[in-house]
Amino acid sequence: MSARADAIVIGGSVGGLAAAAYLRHAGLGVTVLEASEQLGGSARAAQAFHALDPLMLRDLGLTRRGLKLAARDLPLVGLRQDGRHLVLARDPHVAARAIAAFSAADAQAYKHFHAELFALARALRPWWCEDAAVPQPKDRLALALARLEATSANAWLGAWFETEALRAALAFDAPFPDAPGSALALVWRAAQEMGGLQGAVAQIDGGGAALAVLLTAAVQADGAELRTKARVKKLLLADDEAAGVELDTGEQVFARRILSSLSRRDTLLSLAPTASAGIAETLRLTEAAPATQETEIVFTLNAAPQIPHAPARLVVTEGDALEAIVTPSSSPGQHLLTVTARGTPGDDAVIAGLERFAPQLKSRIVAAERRTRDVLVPHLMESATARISTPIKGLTLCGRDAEPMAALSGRAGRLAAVIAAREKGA
Amino acid sequence: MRVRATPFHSRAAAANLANAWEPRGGWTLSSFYDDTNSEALAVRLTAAMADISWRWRATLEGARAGEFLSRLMTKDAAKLTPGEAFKAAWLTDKGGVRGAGVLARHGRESFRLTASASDRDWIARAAALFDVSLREVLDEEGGLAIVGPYAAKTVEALGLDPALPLLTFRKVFWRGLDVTLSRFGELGGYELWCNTDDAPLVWDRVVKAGSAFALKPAGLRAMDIADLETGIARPVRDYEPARDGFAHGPTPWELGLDTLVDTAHTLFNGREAALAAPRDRTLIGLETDGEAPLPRGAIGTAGRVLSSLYSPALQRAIALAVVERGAPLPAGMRIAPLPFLAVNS
Repeated sequence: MSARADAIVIGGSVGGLAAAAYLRHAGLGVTVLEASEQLGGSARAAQAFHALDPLMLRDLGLTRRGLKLAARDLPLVGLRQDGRHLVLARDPHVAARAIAAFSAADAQAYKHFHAELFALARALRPWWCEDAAVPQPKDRLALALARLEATSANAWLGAWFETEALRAALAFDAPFPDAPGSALALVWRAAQEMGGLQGAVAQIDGGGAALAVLLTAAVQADGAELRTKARVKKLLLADDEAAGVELDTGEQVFARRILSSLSRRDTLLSLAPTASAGIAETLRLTEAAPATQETEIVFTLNAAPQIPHAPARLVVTEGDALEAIVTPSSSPGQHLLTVTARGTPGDDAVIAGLERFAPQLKSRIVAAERRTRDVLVPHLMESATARISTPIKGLTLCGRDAEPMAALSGRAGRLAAVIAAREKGA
Repeated sequence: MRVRATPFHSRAAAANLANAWEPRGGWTLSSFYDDTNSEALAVRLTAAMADISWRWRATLEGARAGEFLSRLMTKDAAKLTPGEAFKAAWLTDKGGVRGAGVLARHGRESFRLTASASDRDWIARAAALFDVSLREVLDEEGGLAIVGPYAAKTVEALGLDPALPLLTFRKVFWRGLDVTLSRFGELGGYELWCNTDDAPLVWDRVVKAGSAFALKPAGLRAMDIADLETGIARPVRDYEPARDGFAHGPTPWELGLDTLVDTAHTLFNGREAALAAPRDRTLIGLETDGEAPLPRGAIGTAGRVLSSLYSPALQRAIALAVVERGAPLPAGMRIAPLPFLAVNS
């Protein structure tokens, strides 16, 4: 059995579906091959979004199809053992008043920090959000940028603030807060936009599952062929150029453009023929172990947890860092508690960590679902082309790992589709 | 200097009247035995033998060895049949020359790479991606080159059949010894490879068989002259081998290694980058009227001299240089066609 298409998208992730839609808009026949039974990938379990590409939302007509935000910007709450939680609202003046309860100096500094963060973010936005050349921020910003390239998030925040809870809450957005350059991860977060707000963290009505449904409908309406339970086993090359894929059923699908939702490492090491990405590049990918792992656990609760200040992003600022978001479940009376933790802590450790702030949490849990993923070193200083294209002609990356920082966005999918469509005549 | 003896060291020490030694590839070898110029002339006029045990040799074995070497080398290793060899290069991902050598197929899943400079670590790591093992041939085997117009006669006098096509090899059981006779070199001669323990005996047999043809042992310096006369750029001597992660490496084109690259072979590493690389520079031979070798480095704005030696056969200094195509040369230098001296095979 074999089929032919203009383009193949491996994986029905947000990025993969976005890419499929844009390829259709460019007039190409697209087949999306998803290994699992449902499209949407990791978005299905996601509760909070901070980086969805506004152009994708517009071009795919998702708002028109009924995408609604349940919350436009979740406040960031630093949970403290003594119950004096630090609530950082969107308005920097309101946040500063909350900080003033801990430190008057930090309250003053926060307003300046916020302005600086957002200014840097705006300067770097074209670079991170479009296939643009590195922007040349003028004078003071250029200096600040050069400094941040070598500054860790913890060091940067440490220079601004003395309050431990404030530093820990803000640093959670950087996956490697001690790594040089990780301060840029905070700037990148501030460069994103949700619901028209810069640096916001939004909740979607119906959660990530609703987004997956809307995206699927949009891509289907555009005329892309969507196939589930179609696991790609390997990439087929002809003369070192992408020629198609082979499924684990042995079926072959041919296309000269292939977009992969998988990370660069998984695409080039597991799918492509050995060393076809170049020997040195393959060795680099093989020998560089993923730097750390991130665990996401979704607890289903039979009653609302007694966590203060929900709905919000709750960050534990003492002990092991983790982030918790509470959302009402689609089943009446039930709530979902989504926890993101660095490393791979056990469920019990996570529950124990949160029960300090939410009494009787454990007795309310009826189900828990966990997934672990590799956290790759971000590509914050790489151009979009460098992140998205591969050494194999015709093969581009469109998934969450092709973003400057791994995130559910769809932006890499949009750019990958543009790059792939551009090579049409080639 | 710590001496690292080749299998022929005991015989070489006895023949080395000048007691002149130098290191090459980690081994200790004779610079010259008596006189460099007469040894270099023997290569061109009669016959010479040289210890080539310093060459880097590696055996690559595994079910996917053919696939790996097709990916690595600039020619298709899968097309070799056992007993055959080709000269090829291996490139970085960016199309720079990492190394060049002779790849011989020993069996269906077994190959031998011989090169003048080692690239062990990188090739071993790359081979591991294909589950192919790399084993260096170090102390267990020695090699003697037999070169010159009377090389074939010498081989015949040894009791071996000299009718062996270029770039092939043959394993033979020779008067009680297991040896391999190959024709991989640029000088059109032969190489005789033997076990370490047999090396002194092999040396003695070659000296005896060659005495009728005025065969001389030739030191490194004489062999370097002969090698330069073939007009082939060598790694380390003529160019810094390219390494991945560094921006620039020499392309095959500017080193005159075009014949080592089979552009119809579509699989080799760095192919796309190499084919896209500009061809504005080229390797040329230079000769002067004097005896003094040209200094290494820039020649005006035209390019640079890679290496230069006095050639006793040509009675003048010769040099390899990389120049911009069509750039004018300073006075006193002439372009000489490569090779400087054709081989007599």
